[in-house]
This record gives sequence, structure tokens and C-alpha cells, in this order.
Amino acid sequence: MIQSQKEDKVMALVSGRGNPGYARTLWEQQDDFLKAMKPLVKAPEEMPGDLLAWVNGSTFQGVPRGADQVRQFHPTLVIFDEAAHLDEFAEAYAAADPVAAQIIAISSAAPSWFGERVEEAFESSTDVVSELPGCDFVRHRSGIAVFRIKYSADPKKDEEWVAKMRPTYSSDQAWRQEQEVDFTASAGQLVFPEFKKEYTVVKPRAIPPDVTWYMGIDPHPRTPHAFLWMFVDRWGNHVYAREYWPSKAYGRRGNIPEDDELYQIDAYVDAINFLEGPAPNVFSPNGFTDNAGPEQKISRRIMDPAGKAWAVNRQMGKDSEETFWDAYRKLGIYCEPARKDFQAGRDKVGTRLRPRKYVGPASTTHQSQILIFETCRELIFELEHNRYPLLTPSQATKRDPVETPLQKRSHLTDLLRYLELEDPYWMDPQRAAREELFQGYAPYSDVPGYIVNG
Amino acid sequence: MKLTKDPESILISPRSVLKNFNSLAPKLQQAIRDGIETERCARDPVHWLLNYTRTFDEHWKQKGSAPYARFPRLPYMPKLFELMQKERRLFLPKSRDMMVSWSVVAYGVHLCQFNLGAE
Repeated sequence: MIQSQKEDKVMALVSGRGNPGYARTLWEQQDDFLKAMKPLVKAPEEMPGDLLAWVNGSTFQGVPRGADQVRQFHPTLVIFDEAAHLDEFAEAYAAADPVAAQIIAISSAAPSWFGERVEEAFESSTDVVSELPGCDFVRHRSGIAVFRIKYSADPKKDEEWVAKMRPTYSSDQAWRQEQEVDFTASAGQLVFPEFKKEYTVVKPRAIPPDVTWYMGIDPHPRTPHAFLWMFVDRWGNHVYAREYWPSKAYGRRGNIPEDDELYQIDAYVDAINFLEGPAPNVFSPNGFTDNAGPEQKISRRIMDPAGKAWAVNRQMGKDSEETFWDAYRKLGIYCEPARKDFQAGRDKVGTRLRPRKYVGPASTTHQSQILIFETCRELIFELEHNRYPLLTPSQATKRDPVETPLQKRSHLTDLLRYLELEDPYWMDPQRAAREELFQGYAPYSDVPGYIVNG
Repeated sequence: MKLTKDPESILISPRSVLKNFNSLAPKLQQAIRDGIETERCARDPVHWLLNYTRTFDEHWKQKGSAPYARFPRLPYMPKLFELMQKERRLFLPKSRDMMVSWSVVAYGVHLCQFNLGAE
């Protein structure tokens, strides 16, 4: 069985209408003795355009897009053609997996579920086998075998061919997608194009005791709540040191699993108190920093104001009166509502992600104001992958580019925006003591500041 | 059909086999050859694809060649078919015009043609 996006393509792959399809061509163009030994039930032109049936009881059937097309059969083989361009491929694959003896999905590159699996396989595996030029084999953790075939696998497609063909593509992006098998080439624009690991991601290091801590909470009724901690040091750096998002998808590609465990608010609060407490003494992903003893004092906590709308419980079809906001407050986590101006937040983050030049006595370095400990895997992942939706060519003629990103895996970057919109600053812990020293002195003029005798 | 007196010599001596084969009627010889080739095609889809069928070349007019041509001998074909025969779930990301769709359809046609009740 073969599935393709459009009915015309289905016909073209099987028996065809008018021009013979792929499967029919392969049968018809065989030597006569093979056709005689393996005959069809009737002449191909007498069969429907999406079917080829043999006397031995075998059938080659084409079906158009749709998750339920495969479910009603028990095929020996299901072929998905151009899987990255196939509507509902993920659902169709899930429907085929239990009923089909074998599944083969072929595709050129385009952002898709198919593309995500392929990229995941190559990014997460250290066992990429490249025995043949232009070909790479790897196995996805789910067991799917992935065999990538690039143009360079064909000896005729040499440098001369590339030099001749590349200018015929409408853009570099089109070339990368069509020939380099780059699944993100035509994805929408990145939400944070300013993010460059070399300027922003740093190895965790000892946290000075005088920093000012901020923290953000992003609650959600269907997915695990997300938490992000940052501090501002005396030099004005915004350092993202700790994150906590107890999802199975944490820090890696893929959709948020539907079976992610959802915890009670008191469990989240216990985790928060532990992570901010004196016990953690190691830097590691999913929430740990070396707190070097004392409990961290969080100067300001913010929460997505949606937390005020979502009820903690739903019983007998009715929402409880207590919201996430109330539940956190009841357990001692007091928050301010985050400001949700997307564009303003994005621009602040973008500005603070740009590298700044630091001239030292020995060398010059570049670093952004926002710094992220490399243990914050999910935040780094989201910064690298959050994208705006791409308009189709027909949409692009009718409207401007979309200003809100795809609603996918953005809990930590949402918190990053909220926190940066607060313009976090360093609060000198010694300030109170100094101000006490100055009590009783009045300024001599309207100029802010003090003159101290002796 | 007349064989040599000693049946064991057929197994021992290839020349005897050939001599006996050549003594058969041409039609019978051809039928035996076809049977052997059918068996070989059944066992080896790459052999069938490269030697016993043709594909349609969409660019045949520009090239000035025949519309149907033998499948090109590409270095990755044996590996591709090995994986198709071995792997239960296989994803094939690929560049344009690599004959991969043709190959996968050919694998499907081969499966139907040489197996009972495949679908």
C-alpha cells in the first residue's frame, strides 16, 4: 500500500490514468517471460488508476492522505511518499504501525514530524554509519532505521554539477532544502535569531553571595509547570542559572508527551523550596545549582497571569474556585503577574542577547548581557528552535508575516521574556547599611547625592 | 530427455550438465533459463530491477533518449534494498531526483509479484 498527499500523485505512483504510473511501468516494462510467469488479474488499463492486482493474490494499492486510510487494512508494506509533505503523517504512521508488517517513509526535506524524527536521530546518536559517499545510516531511539541519501551519493553529481545546478535554485534556502536534505531550511524565521551559544552559554560557576535573584513560573493545566531562575550580579549580567520543567521531553526534540505526569501544586512548591534551599551542591540539568550553603532569597517572583484563570481542580464537571495562583500563594510562593507584551519582551531579550565587547588587560572578548548556564538545556533548546510560522506562498501574497511564534515548546522562553520585561537589576545588599550611615544628612542642592564631611 | 548413464556424473562434472542441457530442445532450454532467472529475480530484487525492468525517464525528450530506460546503476542501491529487506520501520530522507521513490515502488512491486497475497 502506498500513501501520497494528492489523488493525482497516488495514481502516478501506481497504475496511472493516461500515462502509466510507476508500479505499472515497472510491471509492463519487464521481460515477457516474467510478465507471463507473474501475470496481473487483468490488463492494467482495465484496473482503477490506484490499483494493480496480481493473479497470485497480491495487490499494490494507492491511498490519498488521511490518518484513517491505512487503519482499515492489514498491509504487508505501507509506503509513505513525501512524508514530510503529507498531512497527518504522524497520525497515519501511528495508525499503520500496529497493523502493517513493514513501514517505509520517503521524503525530501521540509519542516515536519518526519523531519523532526530524522533530525532527532542524527542529533542524539553517536553511531552514525557513513560507509558510502553521501549516505548516512542511523537508528532513532524508537527503533526506526534512518538512511539519508544526499545528491553526492550519485557519482554523476560532482562539483561541476553543483556549480551548474545551484544557481538554478531560487534561493540558497531552496538548495539546502531540496539537495542538502536540510529539514529546517524553509522553516519560519527564528524568534531569537540573536541567540548564539558562543556569546551566551557559559559553564556554571560559583554564584556570588550578593546577587539579586528573580524567578518565573509558567503554570499550565495540561503540561508540567515550568520554572526559571535568574540572578543579576553587581556587573549587571543577567545570568540564567536554573530551570525546572519535569517533562519527558525536557531538553530534547519532540512533542510534549501526552502522558507527562502532572503534579500537585504542593509537590511543585516542595521542589522549589528544595532547589532554592541549602542542600543542592552541584550544577546539573533540570534544576540544580551549587547553592554553597545558604538558602537563596528570591527578590521577585512572577507568574503568567493565566495562572489566575486556571482552576486547580475540576470535579463533577465544575472548576474549583481555587486557581493555580491561589494555590501557590497559599503555600508561600507569592508572585507578581507577568507582563505579556510579546513583542516588547522579545525585543528586550534580543537586545540583551547581542554580544558586547569586553576589553581586558590581556585580551578582548565578546559576551551578551544575558548569560545562560549550560545546564539549562531546555531554555537553550527552546531559544534555538522557537520559530514563527511560515506563510504558504498564497498566504504570503495576502498578509504580512505572522508576529506570534508557533505555540510549541516555549515555556522557558516565555519565562525568559517575562523576566526580561521586568528589567531586573542588581540590588546592593549593603545599601541599607550605607543609607543608615547617611541618615541625618540632607542634600545641599537638588543634585541627587550626598556630601559627607570627614 | 536423455541423460548420461551414470546419474552421479551429472553432479560431479559440469561439462556433463552442460552437455545434457545443450541436448535439450531450445524451447525447453529457454524455459529452464527463464525459470532460473525468475528464481534469481525473486531472491534478489536489485538483480530484477537492474536487469529485467525499465523506468520511465521524464526528461527523455530533452536528453534525446528512449522514454524507457534500464534502471541506473547507483552505488547506494544495494544498501538501500538491503535495508528495505531487513528493517521493519525505515525512514528515507533524500535529495531530489535520486530514484529513491522509484526504488521503493520497485521494492513494493517486487514484493507483490514474487509473494503470494502481499498487499
